[in-house]
Amino acid sequence: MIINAEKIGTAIVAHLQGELDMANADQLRESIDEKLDQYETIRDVYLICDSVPFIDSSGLAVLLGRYRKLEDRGGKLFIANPSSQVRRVMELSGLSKLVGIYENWNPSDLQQRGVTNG
Amino acid sequence: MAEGNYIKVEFPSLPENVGFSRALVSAFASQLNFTLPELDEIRTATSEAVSNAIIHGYENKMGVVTLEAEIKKGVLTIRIIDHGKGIADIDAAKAVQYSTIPGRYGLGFTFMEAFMDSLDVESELGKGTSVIMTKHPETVCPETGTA
Repeated sequence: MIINAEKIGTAIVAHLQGELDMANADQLRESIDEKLDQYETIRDVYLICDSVPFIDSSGLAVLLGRYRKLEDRGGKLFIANPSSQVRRVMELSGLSKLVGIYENWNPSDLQQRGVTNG
Repeated sequence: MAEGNYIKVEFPSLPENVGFSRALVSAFASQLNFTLPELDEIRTATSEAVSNAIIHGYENKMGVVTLEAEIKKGVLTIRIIDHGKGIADIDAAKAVQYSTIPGRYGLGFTFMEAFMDSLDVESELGKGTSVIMTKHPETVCPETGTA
């Protein structure tokens, strides 16, 4: 999986590319947690999923774990532009009730949520 | 119609083979008139069954996973077989949010049951586990009246 994660203000915005299963779930978890450990000011994580055609329960477990970690910080996990398969398994698992879902992600959404650069 | 067609593949219990197995089954299943959402369901169920074989059956140690798929009377049957530790309590394992490993979601069997027409689990402690799933296309062909 290709993960391009950057810190923008109090958020991490990570563009993901590839299918998410047990082969790369650890990679995603470590990538996000590394930034969370590095910057205590981070509250929210946005995973941009345009290029994630598939996720299974191994991937969902990573999302649930990050959700809980962010909740402890008073922050939230957002999934942007999920594919139909990703949305479906998120709904069936109940995860869609916990995390924020953006159907039409636009970087300006960050500003609207009060997240600014710097 | 690929009536009577089948595949049988063996591969080591490596995480990288989870993606391979769902791609393989999806390509095979495409010989029936499954819709794209149905193929997504088949891919998800296969991914969960093979992940279970690797994580729970072999506990991430090396073993051989056998994947079989066949088309009979318009129905797709998938078998995922491991020769790992087996499941002590199949009903408990199928329960929602049940997992013997902390940090896992415990939704594998839930997805398999939700996405396939049928799910059978045969297991013997110390011998291994077979997961057998079937699915037929919901869309009825207007010309033949069959799926």
